[in-house]
Amino acid sequence: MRPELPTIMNGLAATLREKVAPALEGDYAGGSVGMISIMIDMAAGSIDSAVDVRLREIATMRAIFTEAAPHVSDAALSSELVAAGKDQPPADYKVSTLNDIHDELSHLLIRLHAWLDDQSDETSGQFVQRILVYLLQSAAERMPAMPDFSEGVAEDT
Amino acid sequence: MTLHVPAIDDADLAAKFEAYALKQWPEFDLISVTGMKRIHGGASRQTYNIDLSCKRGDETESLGVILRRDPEASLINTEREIEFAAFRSMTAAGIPIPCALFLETDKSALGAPFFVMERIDVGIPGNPFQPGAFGEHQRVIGEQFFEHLGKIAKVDPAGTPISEVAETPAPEAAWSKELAYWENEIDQHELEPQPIVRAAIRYLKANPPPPAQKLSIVHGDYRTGNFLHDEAGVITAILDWEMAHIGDPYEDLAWATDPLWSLGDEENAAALLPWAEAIAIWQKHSGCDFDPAAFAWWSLFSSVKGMGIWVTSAHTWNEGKNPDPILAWSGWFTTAAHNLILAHRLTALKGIST
Repeated sequence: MRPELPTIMNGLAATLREKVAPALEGDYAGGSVGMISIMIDMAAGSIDSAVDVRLREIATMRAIFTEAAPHVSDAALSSELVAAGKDQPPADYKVSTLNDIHDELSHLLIRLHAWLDDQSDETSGQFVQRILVYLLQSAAERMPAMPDFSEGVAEDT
Repeated sequence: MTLHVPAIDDADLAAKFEAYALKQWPEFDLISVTGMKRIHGGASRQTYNIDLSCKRGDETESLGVILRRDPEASLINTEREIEFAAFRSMTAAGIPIPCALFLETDKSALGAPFFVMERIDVGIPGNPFQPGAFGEHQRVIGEQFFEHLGKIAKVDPAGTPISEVAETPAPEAAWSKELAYWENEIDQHELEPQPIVRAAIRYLKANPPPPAQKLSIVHGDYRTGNFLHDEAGVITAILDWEMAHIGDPYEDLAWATDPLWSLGDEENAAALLPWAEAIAIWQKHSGCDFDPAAFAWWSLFSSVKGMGIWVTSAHTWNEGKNPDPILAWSGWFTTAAHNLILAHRLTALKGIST
């Protein structure tokens, strides 16, 4: 499809920001339209890479589980890690499908991380570091660009 | 800047407000709403800017008030009684705040509980996400920002109106009360697993802070964006007390200086004033000694609290209970920002270089 979705969304956001919001400036409606334009830009910035980001994060979590499983003395947790670590292709590549898989793995990651936090051995510490590095990389990749508020778009959480 | 309101957004609400105001101010013969506009922002309350014309005999008086009405659901679930009591508790603190006028918990008057406060006619809010929002006045605004924060911490909550409606924790339990509250908010409202904030919560529980040096009234959301300034270097009003409670004054200091509000400026606290100066002003006016260990714990907590707010915001918006786009923004941008801030803090605590 051309124009690309991000191009369309950026264009719509610009119209809202530059043409519509100023006409409503100072009102609740004006502030809201400005905020909507910013979030359309944010969506445009994330939509192209959404599948790619999720697939890579899923792969990283599965790799952590596979490597950590032999170290985990909690038999039930270790068994879950082995099963979850197996590479299984998703039913489809919709973002919602990948989110469901991601959520399931993230729940398990929290349990693994909590278990490792309670250990005092060096290997557990290394896995904790690996998890934190993954979480930092994921958070950085998912961080939207800071919107430009210089156009007078109101913001107040 | 004077905030006279040109039109009426909601004629039905205006008529109901006229009737209510006349009951509260029987000294007037007639009260008319001449302007009523909903204000953008204020995601935890529906906020209206109102002009009133009040007649008494042959005299007419103009009044400006702010109406803060509860929405069906908001960014944070707070009690308006506590917010109202917080305003009334701070009247002698020497900080600029609007006068709290009426509190109404009965839904029959305006369809939802609300309170009314005096409108401060001079001042605009600063955008916390706009670099250089205060221009050449950044330093003097910063000095007042930390002075007012210190003065809030200075107030002894015992015997104040807020102490009648809010729990007073033991000094050694102030941290656990707040952490339990925000963990529960995340438990109840997260739309997806949050491995970063869960790791931070585990760390905070395993490494508690020292007991509060003193208990104080905690504003709860003291930061850039929640005060008015006159564009000439004077803070004219400290607003948004809806998360006020009694607790450890470090909670406010840490929240005010959370990296979310600093726009990447590591040299200046709250992107306003060099750290050492900011802390010195806060110490002077609060009477507290600065304790780096306490500040470090409350700083990590602040980002957890932020996640609690944003997760709740996202949940509220996702449920369709409140369509205000600012809730979607909070549930997306600020959630991502605090996840990143927390991830940096956790890796730093583990000595991981990034």
